[in-house]
Amino acid sequence: MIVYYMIVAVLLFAIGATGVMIRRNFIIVLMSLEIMLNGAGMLLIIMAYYLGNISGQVMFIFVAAVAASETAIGLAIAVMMYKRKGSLDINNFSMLKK
Amino acid sequence: MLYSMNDFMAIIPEIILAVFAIAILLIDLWLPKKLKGFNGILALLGVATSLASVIMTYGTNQSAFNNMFVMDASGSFASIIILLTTFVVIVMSFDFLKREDINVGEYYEILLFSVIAMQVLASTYNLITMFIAVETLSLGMYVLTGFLRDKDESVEGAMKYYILGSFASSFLVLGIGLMYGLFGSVDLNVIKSGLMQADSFHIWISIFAFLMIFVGFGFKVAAFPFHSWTPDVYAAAPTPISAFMSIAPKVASFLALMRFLVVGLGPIEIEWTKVLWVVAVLTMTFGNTVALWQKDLKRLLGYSSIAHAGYMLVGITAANALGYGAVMFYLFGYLFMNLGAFAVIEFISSKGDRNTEISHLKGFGYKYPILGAAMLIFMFSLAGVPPTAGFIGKYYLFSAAVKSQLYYLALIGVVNSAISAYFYLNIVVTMYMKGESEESINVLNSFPLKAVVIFGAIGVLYVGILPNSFLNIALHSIGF
Repeated sequence: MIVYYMIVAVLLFAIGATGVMIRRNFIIVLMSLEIMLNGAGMLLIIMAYYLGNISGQVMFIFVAAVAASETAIGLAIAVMMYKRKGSLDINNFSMLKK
Repeated sequence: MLYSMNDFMAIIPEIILAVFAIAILLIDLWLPKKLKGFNGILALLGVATSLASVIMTYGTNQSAFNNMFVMDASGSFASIIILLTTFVVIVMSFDFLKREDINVGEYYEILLFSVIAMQVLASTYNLITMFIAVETLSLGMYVLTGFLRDKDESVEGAMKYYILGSFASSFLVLGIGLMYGLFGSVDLNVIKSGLMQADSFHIWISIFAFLMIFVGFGFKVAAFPFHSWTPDVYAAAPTPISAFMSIAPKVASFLALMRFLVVGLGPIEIEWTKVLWVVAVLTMTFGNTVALWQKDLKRLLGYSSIAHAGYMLVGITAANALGYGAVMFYLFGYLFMNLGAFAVIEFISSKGDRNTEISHLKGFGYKYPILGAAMLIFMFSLAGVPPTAGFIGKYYLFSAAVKSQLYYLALIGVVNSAISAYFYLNIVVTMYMKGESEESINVLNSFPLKAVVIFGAIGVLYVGILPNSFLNIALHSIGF
């Protein structure tokens, strides 16, 4: 049974990772990063359920808090990007590759 | 589950920094624009107080908060390096922030909160504490990278750093989740005893989990497959922050990585040394080879810091006490040379943190003889020429590898430092032998900055000529 749950968690993680790599809009990338972290966090909860040990769920609360503050910074960066270029397309930001 | 007073005694350096960071945030509200420099003084005071409290409690061994936090000599030594770096970086920031017109309290506040996270990362045997510390320090670094809001490059650097950093830390959580599932705990000592009696299935899964966690740490220390952010972010960030990023987060991450590998994964040492061998060789070679073609000083130091991370990985790959101590000692010497080199870059940069190409150093050695001589010392030290800190540090790293019979690794390391001499000495040649620069250099002529350069030069020479006392402290600080 536990294997199915784990497959879901790893699938979520893979979906997020694919999104980060192929999507070019910064907001979508932010969402994908969130999906990745939640996929990994889900693994913690599944393992806590499987082991009958509460600490995994507590750890997920930490991870969720960290993910929220991370997204806050990501959105601040998005605002900054929009102010500079009027667009959130990552491809518009490639001055540094000299 | 009550905490005693002793638990809080163990985190006094962090508490002091947090108090000062919050104080800066509040006082900044009432400071008129002319007096914003006061924030910097306050930050310096906080760092100095914290440093004093770390030094006073140096050598005590104590675990606090149900083993979530430990206080030991290696953590304290790392804290000393981190706080010293922060002190120097704040001094470097004074006139820089005024010139760039970003003299606000948040800069120091975010810097101090990152430093707290680094201190925590350097003193824990618990994976989840490590994750939170890594994330907290990264969040501060993302913001500080994008601090020059009016500059396209700065925004772009912050965005790249943010995406890649969050990507890597998701892998860290996945690895921690697997470790937790295998051994029912994220405490490294429990993982160690679990691994000792594990069957081959558990060992294979834990190697997979190790690789996931290594992605997270490898990103922070800029090891080879996860290095790509380094040159971009160093070029984009304000110069004092680039200097800070090249040392302080690395100290904490290297110590946490060593704790994870040596304590947590001690029983599968043979497997992880194989992985680290490959990563160390690729990191050194890549950093040094690509640096040969760089024209911008900050990008060049970015690639150079990748190469130096490779040298330090050699010390970890050696997997003996000498190697771990040598990594800490190397980081201590690296502090002086890299901060000094970045201070010189900041000195020649013009408004907007621009004009940091190597060609701007033409004739620098004659126009500013003392700073030129100091830059010469830094470049010799980075290249590993005696009698500088870089030479002694590399000597101990490679001799640790030889001690563990890793002859090829040591050989590749030596060949790499020979390659690196080319681009470091190229800077020296540009300073002294390429004539005068056509355009006049518009320098950031500030006394604190010059003081930092002199401090770095003295430190490099002192550690290089009389390394014994520092070496003993570094070697004896390793308690695992």
